[in-house]
Amino acid sequence: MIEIRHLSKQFEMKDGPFQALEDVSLHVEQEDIYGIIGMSGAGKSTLIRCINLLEEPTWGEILIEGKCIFRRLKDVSDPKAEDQKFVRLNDTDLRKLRREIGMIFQSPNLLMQRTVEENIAFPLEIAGYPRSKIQDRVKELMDLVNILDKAHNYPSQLSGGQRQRVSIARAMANTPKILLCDEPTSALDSLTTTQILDLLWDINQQYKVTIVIITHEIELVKKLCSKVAVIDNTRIVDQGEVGQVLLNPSMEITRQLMRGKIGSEE
Amino acid sequence: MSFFTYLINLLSEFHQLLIDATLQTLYITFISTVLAYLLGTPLGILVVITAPKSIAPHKGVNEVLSWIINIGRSIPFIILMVALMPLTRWIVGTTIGPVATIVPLTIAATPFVARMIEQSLVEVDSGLIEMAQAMGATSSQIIFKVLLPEGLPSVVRGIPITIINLIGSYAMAGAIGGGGLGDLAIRYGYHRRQSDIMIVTIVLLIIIVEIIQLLGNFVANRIDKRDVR
Repeated sequence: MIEIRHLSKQFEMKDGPFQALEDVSLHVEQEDIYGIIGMSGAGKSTLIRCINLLEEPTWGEILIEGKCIFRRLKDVSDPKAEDQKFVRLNDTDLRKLRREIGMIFQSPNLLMQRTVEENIAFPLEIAGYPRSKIQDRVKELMDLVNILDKAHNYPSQLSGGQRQRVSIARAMANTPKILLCDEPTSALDSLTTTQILDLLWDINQQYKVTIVIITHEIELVKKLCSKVAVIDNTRIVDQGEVGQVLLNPSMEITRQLMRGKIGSEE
Repeated sequence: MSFFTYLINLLSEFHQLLIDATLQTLYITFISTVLAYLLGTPLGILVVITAPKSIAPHKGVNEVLSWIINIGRSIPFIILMVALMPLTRWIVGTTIGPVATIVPLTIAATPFVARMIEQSLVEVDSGLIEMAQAMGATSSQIIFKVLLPEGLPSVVRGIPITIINLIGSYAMAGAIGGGGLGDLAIRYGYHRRQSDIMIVTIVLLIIIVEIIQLLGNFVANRIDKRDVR
C-alpha cells in the first residue's frame, strides 16, 4: 500500500544542513493501522509529511499502491532504467494524489469562519463536487463522527474533541484510501483521546482505510495500532507487529518509550 | 443672544454650505476608498503569496512590490498630490476641484491598503494553509477559500482606518481647492476668521470619523465567528 525506501530528508538551515531522516524504509499494508512512535524531534512528523509530499524527500523512493510518486536515488547505475528514473509529480498529479490521502493534524486546523458543515464540505469544494452532492455527503460524514447536532455551529463553539472529530470527518470526505494522522490526540485529555481512537478504529474497520499515525504515546500504539515503527534520531530502529515490538523490546529507545519517559519531555 | 439661538442662526446661514461640504467629503473619500481597495487588495494578496514559504514564493516579485509599497507610503500626501498633477490632468482633465483629488487620494491610499491587506492575511493561521495544501487545493483555492474568508474580519477592521486616513488627506486637498470640509474650514474658518465655522467643521469631522469607526467595528464583530458563544 505504502512503500518507503531509503528515504532521507535534509533541511537547509542557515547554519548548515539539518538531517531530519536518514535511510528510512517502511512498508504499510492495506488496512494496517501503522503507528510511528518516537520522541519529539526524532523526525516522525517529517516522515508522515513525506507520504503526501508536503515535504519533498532529499533521497529515496515512495510508492503508493504500487505507483511511484517520488524517486531520487543516490546511486544510479543506469539513469534510463525504469526503476531508477527520477520521479516527481507535476502540480496537477500532486493535487490529485493529495485528494486521495486524508490528513489530520495535532491542531484540528478548522476554518474559523465556517460552520462545522461548511468545514466538512471544504475538501469536496476543492475537488469540485456539485453542490447537491456535497450536502448529502456532508450529512453522512457528520453522522459518521457523530456531530450532526453541531452542523451549524462554528469551531469556536466546540470542544477540542469535537473539533478533532470534525477534522476527521473532513479528512474522510473524499473517501481516501489512506488517512495520515500527525499526533491527532496530543492536545486532548485522556477520555477524549479514547473517543478519538475508537473513532479511528471504527473508520479503519468500516471503510478499510489504511491509517498511518504519528505519536509519542505508547498507550496509543497499544490501543490502536496493528504495526509500529520506532523512530529515534532520524532512523527507524525497530519495526513490526505491535505485540512483537513492545512485548520484547530489543532497543533501549523502545524501553524508554514504554517507561513513559517521554511524558515528562513534552 | 443665547448660544442656542446663535447656533441656529449660524446653521441657517451656512447649512447649505455645510451639507454640501460634508456630502462632498463623504462622496470623495468613499470613491477613493473603493478604488484604493480595488487596486490595493490584489497588491496585498500578491505580497503575501509571494513571500518566502508561502503558497507562491517569488523573491523578485515580493521585493519589488514591497519596495513600491514602501515608496508610495513614504511620500507625504501634500507632495504626492502636487507631484501627481500631470497624471491627474491626464485622467480627469483638470487638477482643480473635488473630482481631481480622487486620483492622488486613490494613489496615496493604495499602498496603505496593500499593507493592511497583507497584515490581515499573514495573520491567518499557517496550519490552515497547510491543511488546504494537504487536501490538494490550488493556490487560487487557497486564496479565495482560506486566506480571504479567514482574514476578512481583520480586513474589514482595516477599512475604517483607511477611510479615516483618507478623510484627513482629503481635508488637506481641500485646503488647496479640492472642496469638502477642509476647503470650507480654510476659506471660512481661516481666511475669513470665522472660528465658529471652523469649530462646526471640526465637530462634523469628529462625528463622521466616530460613525465610520463604530460602523466598521459593528460589521467586523458581526461577521467574525472566532468567538461566537
